[in-house]
Amino acid sequence: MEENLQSEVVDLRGECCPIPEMTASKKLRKMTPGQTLELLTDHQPAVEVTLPALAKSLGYPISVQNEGDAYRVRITKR
Amino acid sequence: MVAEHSFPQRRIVAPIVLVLFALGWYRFSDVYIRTDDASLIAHGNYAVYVPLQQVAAYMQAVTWVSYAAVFGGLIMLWSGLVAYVEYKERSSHE
Amino acid sequence: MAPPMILDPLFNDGLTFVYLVFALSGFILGWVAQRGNYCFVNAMTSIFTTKTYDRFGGLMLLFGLSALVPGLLVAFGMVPAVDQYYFNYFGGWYIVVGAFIFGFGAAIAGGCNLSMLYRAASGYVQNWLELAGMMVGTYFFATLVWPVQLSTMQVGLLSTKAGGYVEYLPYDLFHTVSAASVGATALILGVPFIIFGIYLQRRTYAKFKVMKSTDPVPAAGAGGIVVNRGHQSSKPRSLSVRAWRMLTLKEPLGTNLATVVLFLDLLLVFVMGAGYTFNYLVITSSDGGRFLEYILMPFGVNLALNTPWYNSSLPIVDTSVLMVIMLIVGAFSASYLSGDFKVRIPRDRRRLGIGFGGGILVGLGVRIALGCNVGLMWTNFAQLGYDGLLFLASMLAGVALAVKVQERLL
Repeated sequence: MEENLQSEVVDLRGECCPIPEMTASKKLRKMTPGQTLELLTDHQPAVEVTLPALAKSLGYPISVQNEGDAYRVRITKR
Repeated sequence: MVAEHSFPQRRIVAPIVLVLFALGWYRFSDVYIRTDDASLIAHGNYAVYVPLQQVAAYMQAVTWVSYAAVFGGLIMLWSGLVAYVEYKERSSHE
Repeated sequence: MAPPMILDPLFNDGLTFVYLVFALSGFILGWVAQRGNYCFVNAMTSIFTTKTYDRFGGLMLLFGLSALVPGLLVAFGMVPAVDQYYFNYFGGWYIVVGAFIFGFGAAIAGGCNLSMLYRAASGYVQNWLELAGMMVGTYFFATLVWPVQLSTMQVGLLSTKAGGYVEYLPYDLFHTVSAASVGATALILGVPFIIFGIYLQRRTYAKFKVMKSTDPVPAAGAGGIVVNRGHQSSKPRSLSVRAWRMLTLKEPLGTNLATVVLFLDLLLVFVMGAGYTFNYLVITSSDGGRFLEYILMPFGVNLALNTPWYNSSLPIVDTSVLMVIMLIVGAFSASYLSGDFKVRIPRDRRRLGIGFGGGILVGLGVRIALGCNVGLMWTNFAQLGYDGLLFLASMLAGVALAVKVQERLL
């Protein structure tokens, strides 16, 4: 159970639309509720538009953290 | 963490690239586009040939646009240099 | 009696001024598209990937406004009808085929003809390669496809044999280009798109609201976007604070704000360029493809002299060239000043090849269709034609296929 709740980290730096949201969507489908998907991206549209839209559409909480050269986006599956 | 610790060189290099791009486009228009248009009429290709008056207007507009882009680039370069000096001052205090 | 086919300039400002207006509009286009994350192909992929319709709704609003307002300007006699329909080009099988190839290529390469350019200017290496691929695709089109396509256009095989008023919906529907017919067509074409756009956006926001009441998801702004930079506060900001943050480039432009500014940009060239030139927004489909011609010139190769399409299409000294150049400058400036500019190389190096391959399809598709998502699809709504509708449907199909293919590849 403990292992199931570990978060998965995906490095998407350099990638642009529609890869970040598509990857997130696919990964989230395979995850179990309670797990968190962490996406590392430097694509602003993904941070500002597509990933929040995906999270809101699925009803999952999302947080975005600016880490200088990239953003860490966390989406927790419900 | 992916935060960067050194000053990003792109803040200095990128405006220089913009200035060179604008100058390059001006030179290219002046040297090649004019010549190309002249060679079109020499070969009797009226489909894509444009009258000299239009070429002159284009060149005038390119001149203004290039000025604007070069000055814009220099302003950005200046702001980049200011940021660099600030960064250096900060890091020398630490 | 056939409607006139002689351009009727609205102003006498001179060609230099017109060129400068197009340059300014290109700058605005690049800046606003970059700050608003405006991407036609992404508005379409989001229907399938995130199941949200707000940005596609924004696109519908853009098309609706672009059909309605220029149409009404013509109907009220402020712009001559001939300046609206003069540059309507042929319609036929090639729009359906080309838009499908284009939609597929753009969705796998990661950029439509607008986003490819502004992202290339923001440092996305994948989009640089897409642009290079597009030049190659244009050359393939010019030498392999264009001669055949041209012959079908000449004989009218699944194609109209002329452009201009023949492609003008008021003439097609009412057999006249009178004020009443143009006004009625503008309403018939524009209003449903505006209503449809608003409906799609409301539907998406309502869905977000339902989700919000059950989950602590950050609240949506006008564009449905909230970013917490380094902290978890999700308190919505006031309008004046948001406006200030947008002006100081700390916050992106919302979808609808970007839509309205882009529409006004189209209106600027529609009015100021009327009677002088192609008075709509055009982007890379011809000029981006033409960069190959420019690159080869210093090596003494002149495609305009001996290569099909290059020797018979748009002149090289065109307003659109300046528009493209300034689009790059505008997008770069917005990207640099907002701190977003960075040379980005995808971690997965395969994506560089996919970008280049997608670019070839983009180049091929847009040339077969005789225009891109801006210079043909969006523009054609403002021209009150029907090619834009064909392009839209076909591009959507291409994008849908690309999403399916990419989901398997990921």
